[in-house]
Amino acid sequence: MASRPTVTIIGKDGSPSGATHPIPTVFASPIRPDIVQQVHTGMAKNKRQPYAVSEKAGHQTSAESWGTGRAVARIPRVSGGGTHRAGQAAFGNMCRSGRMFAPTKIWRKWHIKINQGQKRFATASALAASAVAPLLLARGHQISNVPEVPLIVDSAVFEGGAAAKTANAFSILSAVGASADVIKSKKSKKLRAGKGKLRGRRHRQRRGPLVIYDPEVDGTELVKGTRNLPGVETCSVYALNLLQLAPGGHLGRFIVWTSAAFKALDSIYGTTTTPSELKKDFLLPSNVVSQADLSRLINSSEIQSVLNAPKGSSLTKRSGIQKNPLRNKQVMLRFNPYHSTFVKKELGQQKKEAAKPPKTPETFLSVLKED
Amino acid sequence: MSELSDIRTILGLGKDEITSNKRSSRLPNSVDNYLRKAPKSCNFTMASPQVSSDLIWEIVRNNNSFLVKRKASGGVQFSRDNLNLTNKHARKCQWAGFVNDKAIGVVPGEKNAVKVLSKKTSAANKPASAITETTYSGGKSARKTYVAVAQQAAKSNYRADLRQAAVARASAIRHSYKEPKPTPEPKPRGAKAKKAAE
Repeated sequence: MASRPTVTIIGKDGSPSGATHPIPTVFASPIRPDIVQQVHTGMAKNKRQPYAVSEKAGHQTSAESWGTGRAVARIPRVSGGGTHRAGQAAFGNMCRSGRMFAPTKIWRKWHIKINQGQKRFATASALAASAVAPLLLARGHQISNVPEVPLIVDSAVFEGGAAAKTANAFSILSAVGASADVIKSKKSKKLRAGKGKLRGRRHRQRRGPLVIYDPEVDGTELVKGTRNLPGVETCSVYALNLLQLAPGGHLGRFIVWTSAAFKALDSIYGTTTTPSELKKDFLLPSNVVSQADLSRLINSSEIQSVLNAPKGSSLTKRSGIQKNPLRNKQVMLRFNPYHSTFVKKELGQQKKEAAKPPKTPETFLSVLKED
Repeated sequence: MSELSDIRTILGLGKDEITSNKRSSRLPNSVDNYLRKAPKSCNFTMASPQVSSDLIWEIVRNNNSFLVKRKASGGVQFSRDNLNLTNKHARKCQWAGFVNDKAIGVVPGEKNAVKVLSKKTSAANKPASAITETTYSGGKSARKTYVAVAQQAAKSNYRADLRQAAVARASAIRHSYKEPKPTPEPKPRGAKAKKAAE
């Protein structure tokens, strides 16, 4: 990030506070959607609660097969008489009130272990992506009023529980240009399609901005202040969560940083060479290529100077095209060597001899018509 | 030319910046010749060398908020991006405007105006100030509007193939302002015509 080493810290009314902060090295981490998606898929599974059908379901009957010779299928049948149930097939997954196929068990593999290195890589990658404006737009965040990405708000704005009330928290967010995203989130609330409605997932809604704070400096009042704002989530900078940083595995969450949280990133993540202070044995991943711009690479003097000059003219030779021999004499001669003689003797122009055919002899006609 | 200078000031470009845009002047002669033939670069200045528009495109090409996928017509893919002149979801020819550092868009304005959006390369990470709007009012003649749009696309060093698309879009926007002609009454033909004549 040599070209943009510092980020402006936004003050109370949305104007720059004058202070800047050098951008932490974590924002230069490689952006790897493949790693983020894989880790996200695993992490999203780690909150699941086991479920299963009852062990006894479909087996609470004393059915026995009737065997062969009764002209019915050999499936177990309910014994006894006196009710409609007697003689009905039981147990099988194809039977009414039978057991399901492969009854679900609580010992399914619900949770996925993800390597810590991968989790850290994914988090660093998601943080780096949150500083790229096109990725925020691609996620659908409304950032047209945001002065700068990453968006850093001075911690003084949150001081003394200034964001403890929802109205105050919203006015802070709208001052820094983040309110459009909150409103988008609010308007997006829809009833979920399907059975999820009955299972505690009644509505679906877009995600808004994620406010990342430092609990030691900013306090935790802003959590209560923002929790009723639709789509807004909060997170401590010391406990960043990939499920919030890249919801759905899609990179580029819109993050509102408090300046204290932003400054803490330096010590939390370290750099590619100095290890992190808080994470054991952690160095930030470094980029494989230092220049990812293909056209810059192609047009660089290093590449261009070792390339051969382009061969031939810019026009391609149309060798495959067939020429019309009726129009092109040379092509005609190639096909038909007799053509030159034909033209020279003007054979094409000669008319047929105009003489009439000889008259049929009388004897022939008389023989023909003889009865 | 006065318009052009206006555009320059609006874009925040000095005269020198436009004229000094010959990128290949420092390179050896043979390379210079090659560069003239080679297509112009898609990207200009970068926010960070590691995050290029090529990388961003690879991340967002399968799924992004602007993308419209339809199963009709063999799975067409369109883009809702304002900075996309053809509304096609394609990297080719710099159509994907939100990905690129340098992009131009043409959108309808108020009162029959045509608005030209352009992205500032210097403000790549400042969304609030990244987009400059130039409005060509509805009162301006069509030809003057197209010339202005074409000049804006040409003089600030966009790809040459964006120019025609920009003008075509401006033309389509102007055309959309016209009230459609009322459908003419159907003329009677044949037997009906004879009857009507009687």
